[in-house]
Amino acid sequence: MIESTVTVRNRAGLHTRPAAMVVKVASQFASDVYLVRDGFNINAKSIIGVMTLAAEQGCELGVIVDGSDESEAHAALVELFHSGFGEQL
Amino acid sequence: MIAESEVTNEVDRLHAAHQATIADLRHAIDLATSESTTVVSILESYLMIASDPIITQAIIKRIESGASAEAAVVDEFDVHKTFLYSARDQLLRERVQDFEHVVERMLAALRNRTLSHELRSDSIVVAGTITPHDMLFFKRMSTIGFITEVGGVTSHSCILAREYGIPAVIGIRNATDLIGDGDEIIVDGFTGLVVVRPNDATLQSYHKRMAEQSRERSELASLAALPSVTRDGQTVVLRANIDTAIDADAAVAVGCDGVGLVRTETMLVAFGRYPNADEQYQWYRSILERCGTSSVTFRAFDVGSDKFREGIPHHEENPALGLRGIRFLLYRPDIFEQQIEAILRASVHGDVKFMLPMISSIEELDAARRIMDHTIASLHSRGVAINASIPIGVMIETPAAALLARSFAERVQFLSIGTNDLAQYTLATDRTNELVADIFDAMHPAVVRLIAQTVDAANEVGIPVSVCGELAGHAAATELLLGLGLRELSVAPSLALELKHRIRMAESVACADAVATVLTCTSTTEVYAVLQSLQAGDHGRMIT
Repeated sequence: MIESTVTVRNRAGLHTRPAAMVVKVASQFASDVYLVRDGFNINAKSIIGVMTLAAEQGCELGVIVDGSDESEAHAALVELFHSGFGEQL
Repeated sequence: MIAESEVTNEVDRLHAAHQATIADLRHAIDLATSESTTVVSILESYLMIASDPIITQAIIKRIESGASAEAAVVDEFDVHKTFLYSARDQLLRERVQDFEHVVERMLAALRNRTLSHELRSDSIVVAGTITPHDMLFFKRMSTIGFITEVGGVTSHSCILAREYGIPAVIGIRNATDLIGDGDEIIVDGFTGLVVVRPNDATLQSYHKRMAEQSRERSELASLAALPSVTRDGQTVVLRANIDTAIDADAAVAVGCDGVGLVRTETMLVAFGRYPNADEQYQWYRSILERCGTSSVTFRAFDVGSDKFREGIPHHEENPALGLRGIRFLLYRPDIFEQQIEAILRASVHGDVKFMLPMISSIEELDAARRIMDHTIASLHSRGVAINASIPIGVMIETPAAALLARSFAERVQFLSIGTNDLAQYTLATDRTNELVADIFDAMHPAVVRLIAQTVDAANEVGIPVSVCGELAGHAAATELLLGLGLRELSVAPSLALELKHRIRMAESVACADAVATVLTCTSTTEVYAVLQSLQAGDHGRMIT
């Protein structure tokens, strides 16, 4: 299991499109992927879950990845958050 | 609560509705792909929300513990909506709309209200009601006729059908019971007659009439290049009412002198939400580019809970009298500012006018202007190229506005009369209610007098006044409108040539004389009688 923290960097926050990107990336992997905000834990393969995190710019989220391909999945997600989902930072 | 024995049935219904919703969205994505990447990406996020496996499981759990499929969908999404409502960020809070949109689609699928999307291209649709949204879809499927159980002639779907030139008969109770799948039907939009399983003789006579009509239509086509002047030389500016850039092409093709009404809220249906200023700017610009130097009047979003519910906080008992038109725009200045910004930016690409809907007081106009001035100042400070002096006009569609027409005329650059709403509000008659459909008539003397008052007010002050309501396209009303002194009319492109024909047949002096009599009439019947005596020959015939 890998745990780390990421920051939402893009200005618009984790709205529908970036949330969809998170789900797309998470769903490519067999591992379970969770995002954590204020102790609130959601499945990153659920777009509704990711959207309800209501993560605005600057918000810190925990990432928990657990499974056979956890290191690849973790790296892919961290990179996605770091890039700001290709949006304005 | 549902019985335990019904659980399987409810889960099956959910699955069917779920699959239908997903298929629906995929189909919509296919249709939109060639048009707009923005629309596609929005539809794709709806698709992801609808296909969320974790939520689907949660909904099934709710059914298993006794909820109906509908209740389970609504309750499950409500939980997630609550989370989003509490978001600190406005943009994220607005994503609640995405959930609502998906829930609405799911509920429609559960009600089995969305009709089969495997329509053949020559189908006639028979339904309880048809939403304007459905109508846009059917138009693309080349549906050739509509029959609905509920609605009045001026309901939005009916107006759309007329604009698209698709025959429709509405208010046929039990139509869905009386007509079976695959039945051959004749929809006679002229007489409001539906013939189910017609015999050969009837079929033949209708085929003959269709051939005659298409000949008449091609005769009309030659009118496109001719000027729209009365026999006695009065020029009438003929403009088009449009919903999309494609309609603008149609308007140009029939020789309209610009666009008198762009219903910008159509964009909301296409986007499924309020597009931002950049997206709107592109949309407005694409219309302006098609219209060259002719003027284009954009009407601010005319939404209400009966037309486009998103952004309206709660259900209204009476949406026609509720938070709609300018009231909604002033309630949501964020949305209004985005639209003003987009229109001002687009205004450098053409001759733009901006019109405010559902005005009933001078204060509303003042408040709208303050928002506009504020937006102009902010665009100037950002160095954005705009035309800050575009003409502003108001729709005269409430009796209050008609009675205050002179005061409005002194404060704006043009007036535009929306005859449907003006009739609806003057006559206190819901125009979608078939039980009072016979009362609703824009030729009612009370409505005619309000129109006359408005035209006089505009002429006294010296600003243009037009009619962009249904009445402008009404075959029996041309002489009335000319006689009242109107010299600007705006109609659906499909009605423009027919109207031009009637204008070219009319004698404005005779019309004015007749109108002097009309203004003394005390009943709708009398109004029709006076106008009928004025019409010579058969040029009052309606072509839809």
